[in-house]
Amino acid sequence: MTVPVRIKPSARFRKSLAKLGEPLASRALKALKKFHVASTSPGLNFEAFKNRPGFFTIRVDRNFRILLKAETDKEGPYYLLVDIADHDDTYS
Amino acid sequence: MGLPQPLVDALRDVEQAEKFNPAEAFRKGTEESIRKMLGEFRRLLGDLEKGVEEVKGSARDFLQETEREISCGRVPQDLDVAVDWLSSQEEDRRKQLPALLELVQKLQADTFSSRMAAADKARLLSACDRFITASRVIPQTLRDLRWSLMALRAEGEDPGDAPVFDNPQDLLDYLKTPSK
Repeated sequence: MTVPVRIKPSARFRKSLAKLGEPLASRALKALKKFHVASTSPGLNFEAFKNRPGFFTIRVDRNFRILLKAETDKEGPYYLLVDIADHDDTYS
Repeated sequence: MGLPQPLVDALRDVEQAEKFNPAEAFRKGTEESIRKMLGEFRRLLGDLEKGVEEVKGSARDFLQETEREISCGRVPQDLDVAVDWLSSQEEDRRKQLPALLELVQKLQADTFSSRMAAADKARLLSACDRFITASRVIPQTLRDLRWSLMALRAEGEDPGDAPVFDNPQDLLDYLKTPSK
């Protein structure tokens, strides 16, 4: 059984999400909902951000990803939603 | 701190190589025109590959400089400007890339059907592959630098006072509410 993850949105994430508008914002919320209950779902492509320890990314769609940071508070681990931005995977 | 000037310069240097257009040489179709084009192409490829190394090196330097600043507790004030600039540079190159790749793929096709010597064909096809690889590395480097800066920025800035959500619906409701 998958344990639901805990999530905290950063102020920057909220700002970036609002700036993106639709339909990306809805896609991002859908991805987050999925991440909450099944973080290892293959469609999310949840992976460590190779350039920075403690950071991770999930896929929103072909061109957008969410940057997350692993954090801990007194109740345990959680993910901080750092930012959302375009991440074109077609170059690599 | 400002924009990463060495990176700005390195990107300007590769633009010349990206303007290569071999169509004229194939239109003429003479052995001399094709040989001349091949020489020019290989020279531009050399410039492009050198430029790519400069772009990668200056991106690495800029990242290390930013890391030093953040580790000293200073978030560079113009980090947002640098992230936005990288995004626009990457966007410009992303738009150019399909046309550039199409051009090189056309050159590959023309090479196969041309009357060039087999050794020249092999050299040109190999140069085409290298050109495609180098052209992809630049936007990829800009993208990776931008994302690394976004992560670094998060290490130095206040994440705000939002709660930690256990429940997905509460999180979604919160995110749908416009921030003040």
